[in-house]
Amino acid sequence: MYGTTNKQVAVCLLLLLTGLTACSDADTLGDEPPREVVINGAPTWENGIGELVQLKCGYCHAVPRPPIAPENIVTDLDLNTYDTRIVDGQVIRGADSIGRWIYDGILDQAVPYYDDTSQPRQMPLDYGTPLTEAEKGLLLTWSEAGAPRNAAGEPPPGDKSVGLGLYFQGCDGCHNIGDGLALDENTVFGPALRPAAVTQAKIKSMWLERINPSEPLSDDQAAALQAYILEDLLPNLP
Amino acid sequence: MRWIVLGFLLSLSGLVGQTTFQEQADRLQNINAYLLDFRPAAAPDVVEKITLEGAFDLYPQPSINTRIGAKDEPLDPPSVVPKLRGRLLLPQGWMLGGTYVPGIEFQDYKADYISLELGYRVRIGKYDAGLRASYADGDVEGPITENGATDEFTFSNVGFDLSVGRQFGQFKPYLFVGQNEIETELLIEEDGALLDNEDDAPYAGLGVTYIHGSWRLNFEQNFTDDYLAFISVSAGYRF
Ligand code: HEC
Ligand code: HEC
Repeated sequence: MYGTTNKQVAVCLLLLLTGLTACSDADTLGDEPPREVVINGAPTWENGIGELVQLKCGYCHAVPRPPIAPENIVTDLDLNTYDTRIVDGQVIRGADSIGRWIYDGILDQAVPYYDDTSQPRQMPLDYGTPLTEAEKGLLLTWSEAGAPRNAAGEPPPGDKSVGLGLYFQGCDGCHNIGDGLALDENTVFGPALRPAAVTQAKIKSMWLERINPSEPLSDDQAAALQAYILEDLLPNLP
Repeated sequence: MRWIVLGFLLSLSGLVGQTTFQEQADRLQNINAYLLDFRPAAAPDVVEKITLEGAFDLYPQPSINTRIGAKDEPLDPPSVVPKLRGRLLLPQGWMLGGTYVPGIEFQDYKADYISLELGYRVRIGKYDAGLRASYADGDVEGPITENGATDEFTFSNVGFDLSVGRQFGQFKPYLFVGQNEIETELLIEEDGALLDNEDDAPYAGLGVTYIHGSWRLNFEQNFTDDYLAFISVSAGYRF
């Protein structure tokens, strides 16, 4: 009786042994392609870009710093919201502030020019979920359109003369008369302003970030600055 | 043979594509933790008198793709992990075992590993069945991701399993199913980032113990969830 059983066991063992060599395997997901966000229509924060930026940037760029983000990360950038705002007395930049970085190529290379405390490397960092080529294209299109929140367009421009007064409260220190200010290509204080990027959201964000971190611009003041830059400053560059 | 089919089914069920770095980082940590888990590595049995068993286990490691995002974390695990194991078997069916690797240092690495198990075995007709709880805990400190860095991988692992075996002559095939729970942390010094992770996964396996006097030779095939398969080979002696 044991004879047959032993034969069975021997077969089983043989199968097991062949199985052994075949069954040493670890699927680490390392070769899986990144998850891709697809957008129909013009990309805006509310149409797809918000989802994309939260998925691929927001887990590092959140406030307070998440543990998976590097210790040296800029702590005043939250890419889970659009608006730059004051939280507990500190200015926290939102996604309305990043259009220029994308335009300057931060998705492909380091952008070290600005007089900034961090020397940003290519984004997202290497160990983050990579952007697909299509997603990079969407972000670039969004940046070229002035990083809009939605398709509603800009509120009407305001009073140019009020805007002039505000502009010379400090914007000129970095942007000169709109054509930018740089010592050399590595020391750019402020870039030449692209008309499409002169949005009221970016103006408000710049104001809080660079001019006055405790008193935000009112809607009227932002509209006035926009009118001055777009109607007087940029068209009359020498 | 049905067990083998079961094993293959476990290892084949498909995975959905398209992933985020968190999923990759979690999976990488899961795999490293489950590979260091404490599995049965022997058929369950019921002894007549107090028995002490010493064994030497070898765990050949599957190749691991260490890509996270667009970066290959240069994790460089050894191709075989050896473990020294001891088991105390009591006539009432209780079993107590452990593995301990005290602060070994190799190259620039420092590793600590401890694992414990407690089991209870009963004989049901011709079969031996065992219920077992295990705990493993360890950390590896060293230049895991970059030369000169002090990265740290810590994990703790709790498992419960049920095994059944039956002796045919000198061979004792067995199979087991269980459930694991892990907690891991990977601190990447270069990036200053802390990746942490909790996971639970079912595991199953089959093996054969070859009994020759006081000697035991054992082959075991392990499957964890649907993404990890590994084997162990051990030699043991009973005192
Ligand atoms: C894995 C974490 C991580 C991810 C993901 C990530 N970043 Fe960053 N980001 C950083 C760190 C860290 C810095 C600080 C500069 C550095 O270390 O290079 C930074 C800096 C920046 C800066 C410069 C801010 C300043 O004021 O200096 C911008 C802009 C930026 N990131 C945009 C993005 C965008 C857009 C994405 C998504 C496409 C992204 N980041 C995804 C970690 C991350
Ligand atoms: C301390 C220097 C500094 C000051 C002051 C400053 N900016 Fe800027 N500005 C920058 C830098 C650097 C950038 C590019 C990086 C960024 O967008 O954050 C920029 C970008 C911009 C952009 C986007 C340009 C584009 O082409 O995308 C606009 C619009 C802008 N600033 C408007 C203003 C206005 C309006 C003020 C005054 C309220 C102002 N800035 C004050 C440095 C400055």
